[in-house]
Amino acid sequence: MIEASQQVTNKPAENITATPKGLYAAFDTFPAPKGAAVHIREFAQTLFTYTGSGLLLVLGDEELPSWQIEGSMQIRRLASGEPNYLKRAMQFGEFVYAHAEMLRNDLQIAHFRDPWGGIPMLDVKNRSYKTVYEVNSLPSIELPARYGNISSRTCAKIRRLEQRCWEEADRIICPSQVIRNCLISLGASADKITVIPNGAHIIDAAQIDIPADAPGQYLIYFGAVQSWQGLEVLFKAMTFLRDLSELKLVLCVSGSKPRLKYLQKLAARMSIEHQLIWQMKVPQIVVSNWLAGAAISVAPLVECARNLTQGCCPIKIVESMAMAKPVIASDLPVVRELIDHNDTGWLIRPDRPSELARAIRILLAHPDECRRIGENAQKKAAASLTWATVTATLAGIYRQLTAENLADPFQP
Amino acid sequence: MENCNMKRGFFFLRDCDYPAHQSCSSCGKSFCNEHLRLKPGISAPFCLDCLGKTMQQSIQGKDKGVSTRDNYDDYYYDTAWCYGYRSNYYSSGSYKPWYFGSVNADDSDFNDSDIRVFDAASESDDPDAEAFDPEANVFDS
Repeated sequence: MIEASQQVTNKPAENITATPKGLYAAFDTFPAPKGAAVHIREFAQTLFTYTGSGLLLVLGDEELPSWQIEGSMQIRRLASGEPNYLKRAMQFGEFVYAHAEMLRNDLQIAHFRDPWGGIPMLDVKNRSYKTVYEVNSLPSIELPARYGNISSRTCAKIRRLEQRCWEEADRIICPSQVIRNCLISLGASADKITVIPNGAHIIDAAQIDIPADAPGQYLIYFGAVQSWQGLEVLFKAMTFLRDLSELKLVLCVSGSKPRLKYLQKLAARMSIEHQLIWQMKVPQIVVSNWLAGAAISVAPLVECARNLTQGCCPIKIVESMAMAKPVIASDLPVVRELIDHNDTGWLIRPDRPSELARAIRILLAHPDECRRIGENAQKKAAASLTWATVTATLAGIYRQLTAENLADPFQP
Repeated sequence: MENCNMKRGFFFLRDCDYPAHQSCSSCGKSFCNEHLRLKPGISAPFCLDCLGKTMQQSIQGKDKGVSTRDNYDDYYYDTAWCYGYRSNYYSSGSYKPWYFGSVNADDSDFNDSDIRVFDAASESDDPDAEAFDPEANVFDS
């Protein structure tokens, strides 16, 4: 009956180096070849460096160990074969609750990324820890894009869970001003919210080995393939660029098999498959190698509720900037937070394939401008978008929280 | 045929999917054979929730010194004890479980129709949808 608790008790106790003082929960597979995994790694390491020891609770699969120790960090993975998203989320909730309850007197800070891990952390009574809700997205907004049959009543129920998280968490962090405004409009306290953008490591592309089979000139899209990413717009733009016979589009992508299959079929229907080079679910290092050789990085985000109302902070843009690659991206508020047109990037109206194709032509025809934009982007990234910079802000929040705990020892 | 009224789980409760066979002599609700026991000395069917509550009360009551295990066999004791512990845990105010089922669900609980839309099978008809893939997540930036 108590499946999650049973998983807690099967650990080899003699190998545990220290009782975790920090807990980070993410309903996501870790590690994985995508931006979210990089974000989890950087933020979890910041928490555990601050607290001295920590426990990371994530999803796993049959190939990843259910338990491992890396330095002062323990990683526990819930390997669930449950195909139903909501049931899987519930299993993860039990998994998180069992650990949080067991460690309620030891933890200083518990950090969560979604209500599936957050509600169980907040439900633990008589806990010693403070909580941080990291809002990269709201399931009540994103899930309808993935599950077309979801009803407004179901969304309202999920929204109530999210609301509990932003009302009861001690601090809220989010990666963009758009998400902050969205949360405030939904009733979250503005005083609790801090914007911490995504980060990247500054990399000199000249020091990276470009893949041996890379074509002479190529664009790159890397990241996930959900409908809001705008790959259909990019594919249509490629049909306008057929005359550039040497130009290829490299797609370093991760996503579900049906979605990837659909995109491959779409490319075939548009007769652009010979212009594409697919790199499915490749490790981060391979993505870096491809990015290093790219002429332009593309982020054609769609004008939709997810990008406009909820907001995001596309890590693909930040990573491209950090490697001095010029980015062509949709002119949306979330992108304008990162890019100034014709200075640190190139903005186009969203959902306009012909504009995207024209922008690609302009930048390819002016390599000096391309270089200037890339260098400006890298300077901006170095000044404000490195992981060192953004995690320093996060550590400052942890410091404030633990100071509050010391000041009020009777706080539950 | 009516389904068993027992709720499975601890932190997150779910409906039991088996058909009900008999009613509990205490609460009157119908349950499947897995969730019913004949109470020793009475020979009437009791659901595990009611049995567990009785056991918890007897442990906390006057005869605290008497070992409950002496009175019941392990099969009866261990299973019902879990349900009694669960009931006691909730009533102590430590935790309010989430319920994902259809029996007497309140408006904030997820029910079968909420859960069904998240089935991987329900996505497969839509070529644009994302079916279950542990490496795929909607929360990528």
